[in-house]
Amino acid sequence: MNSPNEELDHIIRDTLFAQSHLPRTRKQTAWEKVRYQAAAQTILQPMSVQPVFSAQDNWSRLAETGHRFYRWLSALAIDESSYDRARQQRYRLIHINSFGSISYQAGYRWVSQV
Amino acid sequence: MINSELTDAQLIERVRENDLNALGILFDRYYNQVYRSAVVITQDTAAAEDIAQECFLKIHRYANRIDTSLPLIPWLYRVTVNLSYTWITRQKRRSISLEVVVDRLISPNWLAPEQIAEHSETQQQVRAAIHSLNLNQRVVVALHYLSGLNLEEIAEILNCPVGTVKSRLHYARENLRRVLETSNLSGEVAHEFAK
Repeated sequence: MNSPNEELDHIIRDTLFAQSHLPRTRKQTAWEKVRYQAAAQTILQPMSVQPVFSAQDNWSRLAETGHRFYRWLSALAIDESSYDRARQQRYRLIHINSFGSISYQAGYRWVSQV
Repeated sequence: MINSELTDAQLIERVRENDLNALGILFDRYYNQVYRSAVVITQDTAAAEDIAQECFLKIHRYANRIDTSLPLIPWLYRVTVNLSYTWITRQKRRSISLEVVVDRLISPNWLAPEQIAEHSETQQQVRAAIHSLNLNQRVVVALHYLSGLNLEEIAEILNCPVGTVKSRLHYARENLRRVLETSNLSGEVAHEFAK
C-alpha cells in the first residue's frame, strides 16, 4: 500500500499529465508553424568570447598605468601627510613609572609631570 | 534522411547549418515536455503552444550560441520558464477584455459540462489547487512532477539555491494536501492523508 505522500505525488502527477495532454494533430500543426517561421529567420552568429582591444584602448591603458606609477612615486617622495600625522601624535606616548609619575614624550626626550 | 539516433549535440550542429530536419527531430523529441511545462506554469493552452513554439525557434536562432558540451534539456526548460514568466507578467499588466474571455471559454482548455463530468472529481480539485498555487511554486511543481527533474536540476534551471526549490516544493505539496483534505470530493484520498 502506498504512503499518503506517494498517493499525493501520484495524484498530482496524473492530474498534471491529464491537464497538459497534447493531441497529435496539434503537435503537427505546431511543427508546421515552427518550420515555416524557422525557414524565414536567420541564425545568429556565435558570440565572440575574446575581448577585442583597439589601438585607442591600448593607449588609454598605458596612460592609466603611467598615471598610477606617478601617483605612487609622488606619494613616496613628496607626500608629507604621513609625516604630519606622526607629528600630531608625538604627545600620545605617555608613560607612568612605578612611582606614579607621568611622563610623555616630546620630540626625542621624555618630560616628567607630577 | 537524418538518423534520429543522433545526439542532441549532433542535431544542434546540423541546425547550425540550417538543417530544419534536425530541428524537426529535436521538436519531436522535446516538444511535448516543453508544452506540458508551459501549460502548467501559465495555465493557458494557447499561451503554452506559443511558448513551446518560441522555444524551438530560439534553438534555431541561437544554435551557434548553444553550448553543445552541455545537455540541451536544462537550456530548454530555462527558456520555457523564462518565456512563461514573461507571458504571465504581461498578462498581469493587461486588462482582460471580453474578447479574451470568450477566446478562453471556447479554447480546448475549457471543457464542456459533459466532458467535465467524465473527469475524475479529485483531478478537478487538484487542478484547481494547482491553479491557486503561486507562480514560483507552480514552476517547481511542473518541473518536478512533469519533467521528473530532481531538486538540484531544478535549482540549476531556475538559478536559485536547492533549499529554495525544496521549500517551494514542500509548501506547494502542503497546499495541495490541504485542499484535498478540506475537499468533500476527495473522499478516499483525504481519508488517507488524515491518517
